[in-house]
Amino acid sequence: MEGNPENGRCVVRRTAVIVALAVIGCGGSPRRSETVQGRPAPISSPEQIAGERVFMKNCNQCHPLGEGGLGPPINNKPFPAVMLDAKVRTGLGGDMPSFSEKDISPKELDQLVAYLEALRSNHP
Amino acid sequence: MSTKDIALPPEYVVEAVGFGLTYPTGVALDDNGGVYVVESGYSYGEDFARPRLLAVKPSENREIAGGDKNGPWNGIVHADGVFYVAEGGETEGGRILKITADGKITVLAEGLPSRGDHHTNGPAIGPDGAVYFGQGTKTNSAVVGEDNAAFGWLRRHSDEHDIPCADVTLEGVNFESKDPIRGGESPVATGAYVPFGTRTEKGQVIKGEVPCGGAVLRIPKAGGKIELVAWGFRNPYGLAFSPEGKLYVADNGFDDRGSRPIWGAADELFAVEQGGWYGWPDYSGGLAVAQNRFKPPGKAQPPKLLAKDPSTPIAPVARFAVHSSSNGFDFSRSDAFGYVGQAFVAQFGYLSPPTGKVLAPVGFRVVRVDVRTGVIADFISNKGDKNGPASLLKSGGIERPVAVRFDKAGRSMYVVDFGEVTVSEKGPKPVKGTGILWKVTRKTAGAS
Repeated sequence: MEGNPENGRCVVRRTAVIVALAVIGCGGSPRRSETVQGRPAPISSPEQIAGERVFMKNCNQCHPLGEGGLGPPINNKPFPAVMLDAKVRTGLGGDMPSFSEKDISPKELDQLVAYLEALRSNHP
Repeated sequence: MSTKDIALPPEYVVEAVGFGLTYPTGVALDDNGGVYVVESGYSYGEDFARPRLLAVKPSENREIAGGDKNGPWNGIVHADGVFYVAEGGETEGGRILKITADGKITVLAEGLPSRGDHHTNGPAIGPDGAVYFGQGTKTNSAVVGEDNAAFGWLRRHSDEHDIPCADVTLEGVNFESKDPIRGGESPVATGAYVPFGTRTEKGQVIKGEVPCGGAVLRIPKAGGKIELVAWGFRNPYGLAFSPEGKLYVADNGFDDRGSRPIWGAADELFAVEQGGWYGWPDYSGGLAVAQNRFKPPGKAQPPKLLAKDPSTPIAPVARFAVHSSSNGFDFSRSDAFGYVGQAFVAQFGYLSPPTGKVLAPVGFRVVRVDVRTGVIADFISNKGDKNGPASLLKSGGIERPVAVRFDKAGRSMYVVDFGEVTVSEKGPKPVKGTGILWKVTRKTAGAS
């Protein structure tokens, strides 16, 4: 890839993703998330509704309602979908398990991302 | 105490209607709307008090009946003019009690396999008229260890062990630990379903019995034979029948403690099938615990204990937060309250660090569950940008919800708040007289 002007952007983008993934995978002291206070996440699309069910089956026990618990809060993480994909599929080290396509299919992962984006929008 | 510190959907209002309760665990209403609470007489942290059935009003708590040191009294239901109470049985074994309105106590069942970490729980009256109840296991994951000495019972009853509901064949795995009974530095090996310090062999058969641990059982209202309904639970604490007559159970999941610690196990809501097996001690939420995702950080991966599964474990309908202690619950039955058919579950809150560490407090709320989809939503919690009991948040809200009950008309929801229990590395420290009974109603009737 050397000599190709795209290389520089590829390297920078890849490096940024790696750094961002490392930050997400980091433990450390979690920031407390705001309680939902009785407000459900503003979901309405079929994809978000399906994503909520994927979340409840696979994620809620460690990230209850997106808040911190056994795992850190995820309703306040400004990460793009590609980072979430990597985190779910590999766990990125740390204590989070990985979820294969047998556990969460590619379609279900897209639905989960749609739901998590809605969850984030409900968090000031 | 201040209801302004409690968050719930804006169309609902909450008020305190019972005060100064010591370790309350259940509420029931009679046919005239009279409100009754059981004080359990026991708290983790090993504090024994007198278990009592109280008639509760904002102005007074009047004793109807009392027990001795065999609590906790873990739940109450009212039917046909009498009360049915699950006596947890920490010292003498579990019992199901029938208590009349004037306080006369009759024992319907006794000798239930309590005297361990978990107790006799429930009860609930089924459509068939029988008394259904839960029987918790004695240990975290079928192996007696040092953690059970920390609970308190191992030094009292050193020969206690879990009892399966049917014959099981073991892999013969043994676990080494220190000896908290005799002391010393020499390790002791203990297998599954046997007393502390007893080894097992591959292929060894442990005979099943009824009554047994980790089970839902039932008995006729008049007393008689105890029947097995389902097993493979860990601590089936909450039992309730849906408006359609289906039995559901709230089961506390594995802890990260003891000789076979298990990490990341959810508390679960199960739909109970007659004769079903729900996975304990080898499955959590339908998933085998002998895999990396359940391996506690820095500890060994839990091995499989049973050479053959009794049957395919049944998966839960909902998965609550790990260590949330999701306990007593009830179904909404009326449009006057809303959310008909949804379960409202009290989450007592974590007892970390002894049960396993978390990054943020979990529980300390009432959640509602759509049992058709498994979707869980917040219903009652404390206001603020942190989760936790009122005492931690320095607010006047809820402490530790432990049970939920709708009145017979379905208009009001009662929440039993156990009161203050702080936890350190040394274990739980409960505070007497801090329990509250909350009542939640809807400001305007209408379906949700």
